[in-house]
Amino acid sequence: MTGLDAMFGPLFHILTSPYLMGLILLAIPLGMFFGAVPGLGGKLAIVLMIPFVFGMEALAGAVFLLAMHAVVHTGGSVPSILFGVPGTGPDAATIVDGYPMAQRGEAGRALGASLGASGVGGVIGALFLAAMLPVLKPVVLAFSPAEFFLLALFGITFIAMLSGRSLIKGIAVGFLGLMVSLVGLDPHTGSQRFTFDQLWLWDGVSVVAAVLGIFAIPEMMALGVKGGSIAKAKGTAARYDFAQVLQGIGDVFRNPWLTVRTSIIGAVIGAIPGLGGDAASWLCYGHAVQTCKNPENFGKGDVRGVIAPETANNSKEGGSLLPTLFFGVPGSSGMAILIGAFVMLGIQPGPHIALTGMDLVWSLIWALALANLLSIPIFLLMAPTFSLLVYVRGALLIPFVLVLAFLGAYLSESAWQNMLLLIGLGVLGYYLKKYGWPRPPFVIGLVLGLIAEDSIHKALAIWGPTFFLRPLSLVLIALIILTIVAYIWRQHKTRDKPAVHYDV
Amino acid sequence: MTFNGRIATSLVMLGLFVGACVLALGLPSKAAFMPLLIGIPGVILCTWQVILDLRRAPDAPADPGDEETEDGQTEAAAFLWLGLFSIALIGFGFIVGGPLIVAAFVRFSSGEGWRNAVFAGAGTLAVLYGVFIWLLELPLFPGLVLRALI
Repeated sequence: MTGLDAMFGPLFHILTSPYLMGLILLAIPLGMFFGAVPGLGGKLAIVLMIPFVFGMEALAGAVFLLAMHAVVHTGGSVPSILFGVPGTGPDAATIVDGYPMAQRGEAGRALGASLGASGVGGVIGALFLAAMLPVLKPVVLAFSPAEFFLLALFGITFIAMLSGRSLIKGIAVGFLGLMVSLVGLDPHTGSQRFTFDQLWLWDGVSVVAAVLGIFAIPEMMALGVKGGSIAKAKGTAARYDFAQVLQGIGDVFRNPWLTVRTSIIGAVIGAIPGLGGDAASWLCYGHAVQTCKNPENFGKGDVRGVIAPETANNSKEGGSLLPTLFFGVPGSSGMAILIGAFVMLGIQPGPHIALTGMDLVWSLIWALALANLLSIPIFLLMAPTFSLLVYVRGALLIPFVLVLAFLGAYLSESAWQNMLLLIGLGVLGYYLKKYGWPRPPFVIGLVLGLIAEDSIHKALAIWGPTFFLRPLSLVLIALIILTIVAYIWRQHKTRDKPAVHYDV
Repeated sequence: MTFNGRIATSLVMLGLFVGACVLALGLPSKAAFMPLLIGIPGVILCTWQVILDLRRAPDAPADPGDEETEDGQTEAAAFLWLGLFSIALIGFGFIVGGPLIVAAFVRFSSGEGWRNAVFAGAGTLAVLYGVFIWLLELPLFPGLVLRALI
């Protein structure tokens, strides 16, 4: 009974709290907006909403941000299907069959299938997370400081490998994040480290200001330099009616096994740190082509080609919460930003959550499921409006986003000097973006830095320099080496093979 | 320009790690341990990247961000606007500087008319005052110049 209370108590709390339900209902259209406007995406959504959740109760802020992030891909399918322009990277797989469907007059059916698949996928992803909790708890508790230091390195290596083309650049940026996390008073000696006698740096660098600087400022500068509308959409918006949308939702339930299979595959991929949404949606699309009857119809506007990637896109969010919450290692680059926001809200992801934060974990699981379910009626109401967002002019968006970024940096610690930090990191972030240095590892390094330092000092005190010879540590070292070898192998393979182009 | 910019970025990254290592040498050994543990591999990685950049073919394809497209600003203009936003918000605060700089951007950078610019500025003021001061009851930065004057 206690277990059931722990599981369903948070759901009851959310459902009976008008405040939390109101936040979820507000988060859904916002998340869809950021997904539907090509070039914005979930990461920028979280970054820009940070000022608004500042000062909120931790649970409320976390539920709001997670609910918003959970439905980004639901909105992202709109421009993919109607214009052949992916709202976010992982939505690209939806174009292969969604856009041909729209071209032959079945845009509504494709949107309905995408909507139904996203909703069902998101709920299955949340259930996957719930099902994994009993398995995960003993694993998390078996970790010692030695493993946590290695886990931090593993997280950076993994994210670096998958978030950019260069492993060297990725790891270097991750290490820079680690270095920035060391700014402030050293916890062991009390001496000032990289503070340059500035009082505002004694408590360390504000994670929020750093995240805003490294993401929001470069995106807006790049948008200003690029000019024009955010997406270069061609043609006119496809017309569709409500009956078609309902038919598309029905298609999801007419292909139940495909829906369930791709949802589970998506959730598993999401749980592997760094594999990311692109991998989930394309792998599930490939799985559908391999396992469904009449595979020759794929690529020509087959509704199953919409269902497979869309279920994966939303179910992976549930899976990626596993490493994010319990190990502090983000399951995706979006989760890396979410960790930064969680830290600002006073939630420190890590193994202690398995002991003291299960109430929060269950609340987040239910928020994820509710957001995906509620996104269906909200999407039905707002889909025609979303299709116009693709024409939003970047130039009109820039000033508001910049003001919000400055505001977030200031509010994070009520220190105006954080705005200087924002500018400095923004300029650095712009050039990192421009020259292909992946930025998500920076956030991971920044968040994991203090945990890594604390862990290595403890590990050295307990086991001495041979701490890495513990069995679990050796497993993690092997994983780090395997990650690097896999990266080199993949690079070698990509060089030999011609790029695959999808003619849509 | 692309070629030089790429190397310059790698050199800046290298400089950051070298600087951190040099500063760490002046710290007590326990405090210096972690910065050196990260900094030294960082120096090695960035040096490697600089070498890779130097060996990269000069005719390598340019990055998309290098080109000025459509009605887009040049990079210099983007940096100028970032500087102006910084001056306005740090100097005159969010309530005064925010609406003014948003209106100026919409008028002069986006090329919209005065009516749209004033509308954008008023909208910014409404959000900043309505949401943050009135609803969330958060004190917003008044700006260094205004704080000195008041």
